[in-house]
Amino acid sequence: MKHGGFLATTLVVVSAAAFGGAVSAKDRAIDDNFYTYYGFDGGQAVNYFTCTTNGCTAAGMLMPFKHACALLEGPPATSGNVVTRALYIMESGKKATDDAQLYVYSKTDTIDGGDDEVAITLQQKVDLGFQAGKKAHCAMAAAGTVLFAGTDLSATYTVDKSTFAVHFSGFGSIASATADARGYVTLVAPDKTFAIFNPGGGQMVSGGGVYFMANTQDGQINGK
Amino acid sequence: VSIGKIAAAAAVCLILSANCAQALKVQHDGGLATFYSSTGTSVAWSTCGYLDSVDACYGAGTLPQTFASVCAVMEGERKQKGKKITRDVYVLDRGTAGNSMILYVFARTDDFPGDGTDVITVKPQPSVLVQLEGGPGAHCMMAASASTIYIGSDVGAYASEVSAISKSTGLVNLLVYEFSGTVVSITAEERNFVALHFQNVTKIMGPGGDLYQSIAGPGDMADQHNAWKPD
Repeated sequence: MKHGGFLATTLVVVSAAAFGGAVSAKDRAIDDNFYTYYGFDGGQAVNYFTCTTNGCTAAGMLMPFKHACALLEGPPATSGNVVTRALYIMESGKKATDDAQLYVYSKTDTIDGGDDEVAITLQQKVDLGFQAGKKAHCAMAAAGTVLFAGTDLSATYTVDKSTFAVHFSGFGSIASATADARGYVTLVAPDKTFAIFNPGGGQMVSGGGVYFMANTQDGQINGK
Repeated sequence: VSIGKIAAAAAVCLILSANCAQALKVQHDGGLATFYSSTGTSVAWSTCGYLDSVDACYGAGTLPQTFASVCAVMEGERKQKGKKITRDVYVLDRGTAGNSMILYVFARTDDFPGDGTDVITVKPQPSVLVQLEGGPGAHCMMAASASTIYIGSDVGAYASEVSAISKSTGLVNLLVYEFSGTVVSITAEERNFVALHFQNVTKIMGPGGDLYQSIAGPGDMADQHNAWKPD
């Protein structure tokens, strides 16, 4: 009887992990009433405010940056009353010779009734390994395990979300990077070629044309 | 034995969480991606990836509508029932100068009969007159919560207004916030909060389409897949 119970529990865990739905739905519940919005302060700083219906419970400023140009949140993970997610900020640099950087923060929300205590700490500063500068147009999109970062003046690289290892994606400069809700990513080059990557970061399809992913929250076309 | 395990797992699922049932469903389209392209007057789509471990493209087509000037595309929530998956596809057409933008809605169905195919059908649904001026020079904006689609335009007499369109009824509610200024951006995040960023104020809309908060200053949502960029 105990053996059967163990098998059943194992199967449930595997199912939930494979599809993500049960875990993410559970994760979202505790901070469902809180939201965080951001503002870029001239590229030098990123402001954040965490609020609920009764007002804002936390605010802060991440800085300094040499021209922050793109921002992504990571998926949430919940343990007790604490929700943790990554925050990725891409910095293009000011001069054309500046290497682009990725700042990876860990954002922790400790929920206590109607209060949300927010702590954001820098986890890693990752040199993306390519030069960009203020005139470069950044593009960044996240697959399941990696994120893609590049500009219209550089090649495109992947960053492993766990190890922060940086690798050339096999794709050159990008005009746009778009992702769907499941983490499939489309990259489009200024010369109107494209490549599609699966949530693991592996390339699926490539060719000529301007394609984009559609998601359920933000309407766009060609990444704009 | 396998059936017994699944039954036991289902029982544990019921105890643990109703959401487990969703996780136990086979996601027929788990290995497939749909990507889009637009000429401005048409929207084409392709669906490729792995189905039953076979890497191929399983469908392609053009949405059955000639548009004036497509400016945004968005998908609706995915719903699975048995071997069929349905979702809406929303296409915002900014139209011609001086005229209202139109939101076109298409119902897409992916049917997986179990023979290694994905039978895809796309049918037009009633379109929605957005009641905001568009035209070729308009910078259009669209984002959605689970219940509501928000659309803005930065041209014309209504550039400081946002259309809130109910996903269930298609009814348009023009949101007018005095002294808010022109719409700058509309962004959404995974928990269905939407930021309506005007020149002078940001309005945070809740998952049900209600106004949560007014903020004096800029505010945008960040999501887990597509980077938010200030340019």
